[in-house]
Amino acid sequence: MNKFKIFTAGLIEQNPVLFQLLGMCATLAVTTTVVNGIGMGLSTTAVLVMSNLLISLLRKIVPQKIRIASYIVIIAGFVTIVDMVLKAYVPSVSNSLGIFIPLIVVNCIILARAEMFASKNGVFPSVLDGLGMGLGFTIALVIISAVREILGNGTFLGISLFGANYEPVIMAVMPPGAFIILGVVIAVVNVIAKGGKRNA
Amino acid sequence: MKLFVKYGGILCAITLIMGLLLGLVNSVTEPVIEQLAQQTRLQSIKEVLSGDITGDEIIYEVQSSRYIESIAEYPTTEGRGFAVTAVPKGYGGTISLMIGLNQEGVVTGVSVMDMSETAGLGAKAKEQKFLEQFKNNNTEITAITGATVTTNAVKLGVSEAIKEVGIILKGVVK
Repeated sequence: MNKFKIFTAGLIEQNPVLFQLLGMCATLAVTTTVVNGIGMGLSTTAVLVMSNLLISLLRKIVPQKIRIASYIVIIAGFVTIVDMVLKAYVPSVSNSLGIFIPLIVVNCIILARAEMFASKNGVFPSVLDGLGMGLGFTIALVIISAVREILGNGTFLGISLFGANYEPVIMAVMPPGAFIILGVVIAVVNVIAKGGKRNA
Repeated sequence: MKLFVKYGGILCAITLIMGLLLGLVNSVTEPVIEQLAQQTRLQSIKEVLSGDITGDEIIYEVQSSRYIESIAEYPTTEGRGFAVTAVPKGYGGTISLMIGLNQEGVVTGVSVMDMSETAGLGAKAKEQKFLEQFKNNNTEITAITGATVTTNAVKLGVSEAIKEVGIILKGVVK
């Protein structure tokens, strides 16, 4: 597989949220505002790139039987680093994401990429894979959170769109809204993607 | 047996590497985080007290409330001012409030230092429109739509602060 394809795979045709349905927990929980979506997406990307890098470096040293334990230690370590850096330098993001930053440890996208890609491939492709998957995750979060923020709060990135008279659809920012909007977004994206293939 | 040693050794080495990395990052970020927390606290204190601070703080012990974290008194241009940190439980975890009271034990301002309430609902508790209502010990609070838990948490924090400062003021009168 050529290098460019490794990168774009995560962005579109293997998008972790929209096509692989990974990382649903974080997706449903943090997409109440676009800022949260971007913050979560980029934090996860940082963890993915670093953990993929280290795991592919260690792939010949770590034995099969203890690989999961090793991956978890590595992932948890990087998540904690990202958490500390956010707290120190981007406190607003850290405040609004709260507990969901430490919870990146159990985001299945990261363990899935470690297991399916980084443990079998070289360092450079693994970093590219992490970057692609992470940005794909970010894009999906931004799409979903944009829909939720615009409908549920009448704002985009905190900027009021419809003026004071807009009556927000509060359900969009509540948990049920998250499920419904996630379903609709996945359906629309899949129709577009499949429709494109059929025509070609 | 041999495998145990080998596996244990490898896991140990990985943990050690990550531990070192974490320690390194922590040594850089910890002072910055500490400083930021201090800054937010000072900022909030200035915001909620009615006059300008003219001297050093006096720290009081919290009497009875488990929702009050700390009480500090400051001499201000308008007499004594109390800055109370309250930590009531909201919908998404603890809400950290700074409540300012004057020497009559009347609320002069409330500000939210830290919270993780739902955006678009509970997060509206940060807005001035909501916080302004608490001034002058007002108890007729218009709740935030769809965020009763958050509203009640802030109400509880403010009323506990009034109580605690009341105890201190009574003691002084005696």
